[in-house]
Amino acid sequence: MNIENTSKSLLTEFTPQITHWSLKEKLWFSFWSIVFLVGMYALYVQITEGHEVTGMRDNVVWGLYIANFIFFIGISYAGAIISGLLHLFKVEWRKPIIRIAELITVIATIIGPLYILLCVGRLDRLHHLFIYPRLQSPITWDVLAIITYLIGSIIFLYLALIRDFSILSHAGLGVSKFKNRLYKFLSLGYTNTPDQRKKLNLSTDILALLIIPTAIVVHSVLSWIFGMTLRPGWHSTIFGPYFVLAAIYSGTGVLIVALWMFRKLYKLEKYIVEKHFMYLGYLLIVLSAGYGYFTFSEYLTDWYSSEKWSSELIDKLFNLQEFGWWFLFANVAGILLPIIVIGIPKLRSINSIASVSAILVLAMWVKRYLIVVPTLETTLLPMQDTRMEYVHYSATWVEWALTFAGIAMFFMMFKLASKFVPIVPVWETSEYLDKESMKTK
Amino acid sequence: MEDKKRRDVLKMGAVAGLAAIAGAAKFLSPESEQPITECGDKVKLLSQDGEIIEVQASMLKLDTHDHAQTMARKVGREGIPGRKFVMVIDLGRCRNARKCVTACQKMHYLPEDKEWLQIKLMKDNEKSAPYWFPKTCFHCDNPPCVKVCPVDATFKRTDGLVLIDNERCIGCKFCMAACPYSTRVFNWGEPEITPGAENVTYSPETSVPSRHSTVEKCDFCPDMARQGKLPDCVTACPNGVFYFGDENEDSVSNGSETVRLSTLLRDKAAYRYMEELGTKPRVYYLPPSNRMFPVERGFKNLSEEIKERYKDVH
Amino acid sequence: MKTILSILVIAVSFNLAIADPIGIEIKLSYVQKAENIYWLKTTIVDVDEEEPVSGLELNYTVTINGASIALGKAITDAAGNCTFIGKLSDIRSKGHLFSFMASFAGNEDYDESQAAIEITDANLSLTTEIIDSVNTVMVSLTTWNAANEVIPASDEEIKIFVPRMYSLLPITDAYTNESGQDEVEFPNDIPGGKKGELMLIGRLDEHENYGTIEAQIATEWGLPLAQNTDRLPRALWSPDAPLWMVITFIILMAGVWGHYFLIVYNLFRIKKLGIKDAPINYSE
Repeated sequence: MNIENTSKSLLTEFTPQITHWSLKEKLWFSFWSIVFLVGMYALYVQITEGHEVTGMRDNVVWGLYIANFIFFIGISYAGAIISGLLHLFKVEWRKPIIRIAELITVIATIIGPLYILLCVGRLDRLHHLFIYPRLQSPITWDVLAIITYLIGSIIFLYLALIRDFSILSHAGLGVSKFKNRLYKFLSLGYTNTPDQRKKLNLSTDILALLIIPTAIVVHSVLSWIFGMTLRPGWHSTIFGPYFVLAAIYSGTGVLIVALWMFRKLYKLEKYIVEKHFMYLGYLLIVLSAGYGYFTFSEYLTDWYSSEKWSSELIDKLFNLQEFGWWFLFANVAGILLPIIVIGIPKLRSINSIASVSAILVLAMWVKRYLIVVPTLETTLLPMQDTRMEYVHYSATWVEWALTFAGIAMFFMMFKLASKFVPIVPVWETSEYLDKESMKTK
Repeated sequence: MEDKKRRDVLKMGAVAGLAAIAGAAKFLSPESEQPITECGDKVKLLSQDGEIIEVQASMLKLDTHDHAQTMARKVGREGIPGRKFVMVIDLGRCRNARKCVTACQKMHYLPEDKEWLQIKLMKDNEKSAPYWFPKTCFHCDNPPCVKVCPVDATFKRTDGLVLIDNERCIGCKFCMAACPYSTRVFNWGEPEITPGAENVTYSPETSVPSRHSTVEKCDFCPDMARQGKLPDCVTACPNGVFYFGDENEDSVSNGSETVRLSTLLRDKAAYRYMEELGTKPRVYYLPPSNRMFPVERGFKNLSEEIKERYKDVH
Repeated sequence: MKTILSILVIAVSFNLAIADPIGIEIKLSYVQKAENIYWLKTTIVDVDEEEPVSGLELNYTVTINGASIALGKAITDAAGNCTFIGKLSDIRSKGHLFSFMASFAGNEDYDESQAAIEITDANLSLTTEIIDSVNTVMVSLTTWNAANEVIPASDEEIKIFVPRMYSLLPITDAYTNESGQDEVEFPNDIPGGKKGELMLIGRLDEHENYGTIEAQIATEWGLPLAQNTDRLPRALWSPDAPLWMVITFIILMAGVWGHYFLIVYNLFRIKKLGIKDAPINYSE
């Protein structure tokens, strides 16, 4: 079998995914559209009535939104690190899954920063960030780093799409004229001539190399929003690497969940195989151990030295009446569970790896909440405030609605993307399958 | 040469304008297009060095309110030349009379539940006795809040003050998360404007009126300083707890008594709150020794709501 | 209920209409402000609540050697204060024992009232000299006896101040000897103006005979004010970022974005290299 035939048969197989909306898909999309619309109503309420409608107050100035922000930027690591690293190491089995990974990156990097906008009280003055910028502020670093990262991941995704756009524009799938023209335009007239191939491969290599440090910078800078302050639990030198590792970890988790879902939905069992789950599962164990190590070291030092405010914070996290259960969940489900389930061969399966990944993603979200809120509730001076909403944060329906709207946006954008391009890259996968079949011969 | 002259006059116009704001008067500022001529009426202005100078009346024009505010905001970013404001709070004299709190609220047209100046009941350890602790903004010399502001909306001036321009603030609240002393407050909704606030020309020095979704805090009343008057919390205190003055002059006053700053700090073993944070506050505390009042005095005449605040301190 | 209320309202207004004028108290003090200027500082409060009364016009007179002279008028401000400012030479020429009086004629709301003080004229002068490199202030306080002869005023405390932004800062005290004089050392660590200029103010405070007397003298005994305080350095907390930060930022951004542009340029090249309507070349 040569690449041409493989790719043609792959394309035929994937065509329904692009051209056809099944009833299940329609229901799925409608459901998330409704969730999204509720979120938009919440946004309308927040913009017209001000941040009063959120649970945030003078002590806890940030809440769910910032937790979501860290969460989504963390998820975005799926494409940047996994895809970038595997590309650099020329790991062949990456090829069927890079599209999903890179889509996660772009979509999550679009959604994440929206949450920081939700924290900004005066969106009408957002341009002040560019007309009065202060380079000393971690927010300025963050804005610039995220813009750079987003552009980089879009280019990275696009570079890996050019070959497929070329195939799609040549195939004549019976899609609308407009769509066909768009494919043609986006394919840049690429026909894989040796010169074109050389240029494209060089560009991909450069970007794969560049996207890794950029992603690391983005999440480090994000952690420094907290690390640069004088607040207990935030002012930590390991926050940069800790956040980076947590991001790769949750990004890998989301990637596994996404693979599992698309595999089921589009019947991709032939291309997304057990090997992908196993290898990503092993990676998950390594990341989990590393992340667990950072977590342990972070809380051990705070607990051991027991400086006044750190102790207060630790007490809150350990106290089952306060954040104790959440803390327990974040660490058991987020660290121990994946290691046990994936580590023991008997428990290891595609489904178990996928479910453990889903749980750890949730645990990682809880962890982000535990980074933001308990610290803000631990003021250096006693609060001595009788307004309970100022003392303890509890998110309002507006914040929850907008949180779910973000998740809805994630699923909807993914769905829309899968209606435009094959979710498994046709060209790369053909190359991969071709090589695999050569090996078996 | 001509150019430089004009720039100087521009600056002086700004200062003159600020003086005018104090009296809520119309604003004077130079019309820069006009060439300098040596004829016509002359107007006396106060220069930045505090000298009275004369300029051509033809160079000045009456300004609109908007322009007045723009100029006031610009001038509000520059410190009062030669000054370094400093406050000393004598904890031994405080009996939680709360006159400072209400005076501050009156001066800045704040509603009752918004306290730029708070009085905490502190207890340093189990054995030591509790004491009343008035807390203003510390106007730190190494301010964590200013460091993190992405748009230069909160800024440090040459006279030591940390102020906020609420026309610039984007409401990201990073400064609030960064301030270790929980000094800053946010207008979560449309701020309650008490009567009279609408007549005040906004500048970072007046901090009035409040704007929704922006940050605000104690400003050490630089608009009063421009008139040579002490901040209202200082003069309102019946016990002379607050001393305020200029570090460069080595002098602080609590309204009735003026003392050398260096002597006071030395003799009373002054300290800065949480010195270990490295924020270098411009507020010094005199330890609560030889107290004038028993701490219980502070509970007299308090509303139940305020009493409730201190229930955890025994 | 309404009727009761209206009755009440009528009762109250009736009560107001026939209310007696409120009693007031006038507080009067004398301050010799400069060589030839004196102030008659006046405060009016109501007798019942000691609240300041504003907008009342006061008449000032002085009686010297039995002759009464009208001085002028002043109206109290929001804080109940007003000050009559007069030239000392106008009254000194007539004698040295002054009986000042401030009186309010009374109106619908407030009773008439008056206050009087007796002041013996006195003169405070300051001179400065550096004696053996020690800053020395020389104080001299004189007054007049019944025969209009200048005599020293002894055993009085003269406080020496320097004016500060908000108030006068007391530095040292002098006590006049039998010849009405004293010499006091003045410290050399008091901050002054840009060139060290420093005004000294001597003051005899609220003396029962002389009132308050102030005198001042300009010196250059202050510590010069540091000149460089009106510029902010490059710092994390100032508008200008530290240089290393700017440089690092430029290098990082230029590095990444430079490569982005290189890749976009490559994409344009790929487009140019494209052959129209050619089939895809699947060979490697």
